[in-house]
Amino acid sequence: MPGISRFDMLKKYLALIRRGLGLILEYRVGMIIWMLTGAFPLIMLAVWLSLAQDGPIGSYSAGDFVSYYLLALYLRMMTAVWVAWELDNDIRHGELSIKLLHPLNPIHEYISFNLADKIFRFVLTTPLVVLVALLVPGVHYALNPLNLVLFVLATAVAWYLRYVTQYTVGLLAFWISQATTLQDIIWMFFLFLGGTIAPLELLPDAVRAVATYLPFRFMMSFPIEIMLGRLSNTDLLIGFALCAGWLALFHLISIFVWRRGLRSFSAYGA
Amino acid sequence: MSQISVEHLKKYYQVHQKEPGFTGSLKSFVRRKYTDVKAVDDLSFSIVAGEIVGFLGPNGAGKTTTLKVLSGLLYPTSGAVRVLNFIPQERRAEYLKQITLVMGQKQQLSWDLPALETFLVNQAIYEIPHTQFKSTLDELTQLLELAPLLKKQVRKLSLGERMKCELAAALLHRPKVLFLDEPTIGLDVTMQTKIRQFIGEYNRLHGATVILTSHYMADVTALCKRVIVIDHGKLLYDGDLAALSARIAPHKLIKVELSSPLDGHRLEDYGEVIRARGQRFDLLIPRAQTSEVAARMLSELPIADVTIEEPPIEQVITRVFEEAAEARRDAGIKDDADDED
Repeated sequence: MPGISRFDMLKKYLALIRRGLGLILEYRVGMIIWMLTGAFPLIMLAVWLSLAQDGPIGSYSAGDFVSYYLLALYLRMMTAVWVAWELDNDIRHGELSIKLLHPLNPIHEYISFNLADKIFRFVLTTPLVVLVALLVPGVHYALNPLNLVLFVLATAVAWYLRYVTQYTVGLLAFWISQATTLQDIIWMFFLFLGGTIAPLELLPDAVRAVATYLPFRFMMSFPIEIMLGRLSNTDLLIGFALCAGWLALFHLISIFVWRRGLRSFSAYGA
Repeated sequence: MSQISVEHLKKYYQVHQKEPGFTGSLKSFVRRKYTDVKAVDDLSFSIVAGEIVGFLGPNGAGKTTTLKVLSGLLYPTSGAVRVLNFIPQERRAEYLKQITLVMGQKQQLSWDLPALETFLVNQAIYEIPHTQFKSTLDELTQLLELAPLLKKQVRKLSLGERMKCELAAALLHRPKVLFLDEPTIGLDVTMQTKIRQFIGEYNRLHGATVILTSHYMADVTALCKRVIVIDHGKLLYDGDLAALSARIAPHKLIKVELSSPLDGHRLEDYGEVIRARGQRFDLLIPRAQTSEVAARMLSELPIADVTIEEPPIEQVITRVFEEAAEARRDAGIKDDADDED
């Protein structure tokens, strides 16, 4: 677009993130309580630990489970997305009008609020996770600079995949009044095929074979697999190639749905 | 040159009908009934730069829908709309930077943050250079008396204070075209007057074009020379506000105060007495005879005071809608609500 430089975009993001942090700090108690509700991976950890008491399950020892679910919890925190509910509300109540009047695609306003939340969570949870990793016996990661870089990259991909798919589902509110129900169904698949209920390696062979290529894996499991050192170079390459493919696909779909949706937007409520 | 041009604009909504209750839900689940609601139905007008135009019509007439089309929120069903040489629904950034839409019933300020925070976000979003931002904010702060409000949480402001901040947020980027949808709704008379004066002032200072809808006729009479009246999505009148009352209201109002008591019936000889309070009487006189009747009254009656007025604009507008409704009935056009599927 002419007239919009990268620098201007950065300034917009900084201003929006600043406002987002203002809001998050205003609602800090609620935000922290809400974060705690994301502790579901800990419940799964308890289940698997009790099962692993008499020896490893598959290739997972008790220590592996703790290592896995500690990161699963962290991933869950750092990729939390709720934009489907924001969109559903904004579209059906006409609040989207306000954002549409701005000379900036509304997705940037939604994303920057999520980024503000990520800054808040990063500051709050990272020290805790590091502390637990250092103090709890048996926790071990394949820590090297390359893995760390790949982990950060894969986490960013996981966040954006979750974001853009949920954004697209939220956009369905242009046509249907219960888009978020669809998100709830997707969420169930995500829990199962993304590696929350169990590490993907422990799923039945046929399911695992499919899950390896589905986008759910790249929303959660993939970054953990990297840090556990369970991926060969070939696995990594294929994994990131799949990431790129899914990202591009969902990104394009979201743009398409957005454009179609705007045509049927009714801007109700005023 | 016209800055806003609307040609044969139509905007139809598909609305699905549902009877109340559980059986209604079931029926609607099995077979959905849709009706076309013609929110705007073949509307044309054009507005030149710097004009303030009052956009009038009862609830549901299509005013808000038209403003939403003009500001790029809605795609027209058909027709051609151009504002500042842009096609609004393309929503180009260069277009959106030059317009604003203020909806009295919607707000862009973050409820839990001070208004200044939203202003700063808008500065970035609209790419307003720092010096311009400062001078505009100073100007708005002065005109709207915002100084004590800027750093308070929006939720702690009164309705009027919030509206002033909303206006400021909507004008920080110095738009050339303002769409104001009920900007004074719910405000007390003093605050209405202030907002009204501010809009006039902004128009004078920046030569901005303004389309204003309001249910308060005082807003319209104070600000707009020209009015566009619509109902059922169709244009009823477009032109001078004064000429409208001349055309619609065939009478003028003569208010007399007598210097000595008199039988009210004697006044019936001059015209229709619509109000009598003690020695004060309001009479409706056919427009053409006004001066002659007034002269006769002055010579024949003990008159302490006399004024000749246009009938209140509210009555004129109500009359316009009544005429339109009669015309629709005569033409046998059904109301939208009667159309099925």
